Amino acid sequence: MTAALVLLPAALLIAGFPVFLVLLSAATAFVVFVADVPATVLHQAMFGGVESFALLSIPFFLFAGEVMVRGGLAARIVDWVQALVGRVPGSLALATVGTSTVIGAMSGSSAAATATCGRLLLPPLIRQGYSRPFAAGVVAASAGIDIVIPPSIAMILYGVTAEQSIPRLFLAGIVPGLVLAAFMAAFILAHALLAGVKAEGSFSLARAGRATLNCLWALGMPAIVFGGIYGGVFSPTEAAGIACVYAMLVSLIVYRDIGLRELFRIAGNAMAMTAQIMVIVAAAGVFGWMLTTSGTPQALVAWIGGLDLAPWQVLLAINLLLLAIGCVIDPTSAILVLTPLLLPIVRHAGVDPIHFGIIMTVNLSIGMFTPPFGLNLFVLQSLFRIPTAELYRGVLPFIAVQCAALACITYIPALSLWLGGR
Amino acid sequence: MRRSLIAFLIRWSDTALSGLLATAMLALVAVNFGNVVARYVFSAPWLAADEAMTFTMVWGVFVGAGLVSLRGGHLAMDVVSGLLPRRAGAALRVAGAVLLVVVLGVVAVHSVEFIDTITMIGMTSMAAGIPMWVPHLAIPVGFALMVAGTVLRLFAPEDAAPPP
Repeated sequence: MTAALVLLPAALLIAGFPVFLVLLSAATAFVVFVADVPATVLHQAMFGGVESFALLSIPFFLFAGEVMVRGGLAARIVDWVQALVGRVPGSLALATVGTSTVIGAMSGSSAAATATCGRLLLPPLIRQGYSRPFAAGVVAASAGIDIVIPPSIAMILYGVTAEQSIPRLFLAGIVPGLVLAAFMAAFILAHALLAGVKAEGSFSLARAGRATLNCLWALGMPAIVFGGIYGGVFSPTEAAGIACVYAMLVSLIVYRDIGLRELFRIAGNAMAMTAQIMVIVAAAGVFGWMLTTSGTPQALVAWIGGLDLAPWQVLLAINLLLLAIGCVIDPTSAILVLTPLLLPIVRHAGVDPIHFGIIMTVNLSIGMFTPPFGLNLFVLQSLFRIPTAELYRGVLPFIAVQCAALACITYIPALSLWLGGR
Repeated sequence: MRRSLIAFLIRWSDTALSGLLATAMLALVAVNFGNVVARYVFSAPWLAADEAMTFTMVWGVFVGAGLVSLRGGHLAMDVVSGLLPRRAGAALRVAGAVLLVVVLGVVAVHSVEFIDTITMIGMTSMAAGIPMWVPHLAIPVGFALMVAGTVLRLFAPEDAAPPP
């Protein structure tokens, strides 16, 4: 049984096989060689894993985000944020953080935000006198925040796996997302003051007003989504569907950034991205069934309970584990595989499951730009041919900054539960 | 000749599957939005909408997984495999394809067995009355597409495979 549960998945994962295949292989080996159950359970658990109305919001949010980000929306947001912070030292780097945060409220893809902000902001940052490592670090680390700012695909997956309210998770993510952005902004500001970086622009009320008007339609999308959900009007899935229609109307008719052919291509890609995520959800359904049947979560809880750790020690150990795993595994796979194992442990330690969902998401968002295998680093490398050593040097200070924010988010539950606990 | 045939098959399959997925995505948006309007404007919700959308998504996921296989885009931890020499990497890709064919084959056999059972007892969905074999069939069909995509990619010339 140990082979099916631990050795086989670990070996296949290290060999680089697709995550869904790793999970499905382990569960199939368990059913065929170990468990005394009809093998049709494999099909039933897979189907049950994806046949969920809550998961239906994933393709909608992915599609709406792609439509908004693929057009000229990001450039308008950059202009808007720059218009607001133009007079502050380090304003261009601050605009990068601000733009990523705003894009996070429309799209849950960190890699897409890295590509979008990288194309728009990395060359101007370097021209402005920032070193290439620092500029790359700002872009890669800012894009990590996208996973934490709702709507977040990672939170939807956690909510379904942990059976927690997705609207509550979305609410709980707002303050921690802003905390991450605030820590980044404070570091950039301190760096600008110490290094003598001057303000890269000026502030004028007229320019700020023009820029706000120019991207008002784009900013309307998060307003409609969150207003609809928390006004008690729509479910998250309905709100996501309305976000799609709104994004299509704004991009096709108001901004005219994309045409019908491009829209059709984006729709196909959004569903392919959904498949990329959901096929792991399906396989994780079988894997989760296997873990439950074998009593693994209960055994882990008993073992951790036997260690007699204080809750802060449990959280510290889990944070270190998640940070390490986040460096090598994407957030989707990590959440689906680890939630059934870790949730009973943190519940036993008295941690609120909504708070834990946010801790997990923040950890994995840091993993998106942590060397050696953070996905955002590869996106920057492939777009700008930046040498690996420069990239690593650039992100290191931001890892420290975001780990400090993570410590606050972990040990001050009110940051998550102030909004999400209601 | 064989290489250009495979390249043609990959391009054709990519276009066909992408078109199917785009149509499914836009249909989902239309049904969702239509149902919101029917529910909140006309107070006449389409009760079967949730099931119709969920089943469309299930088909989209498994057909889409075929496209992802064709593009070699499944999420994986390529820490070690990326460091391997060319030959070892190629051997690992073959081993991965064999494992995929075996595992998906085993699951598909039992999927068909399950679908056969629910067809015999005439199981239908609760709101829309859709025969339940319809959404369940997405799994074996998707697995067949994933196997086909993986095998095509294995024999494809390097410049033929569409970008992931």
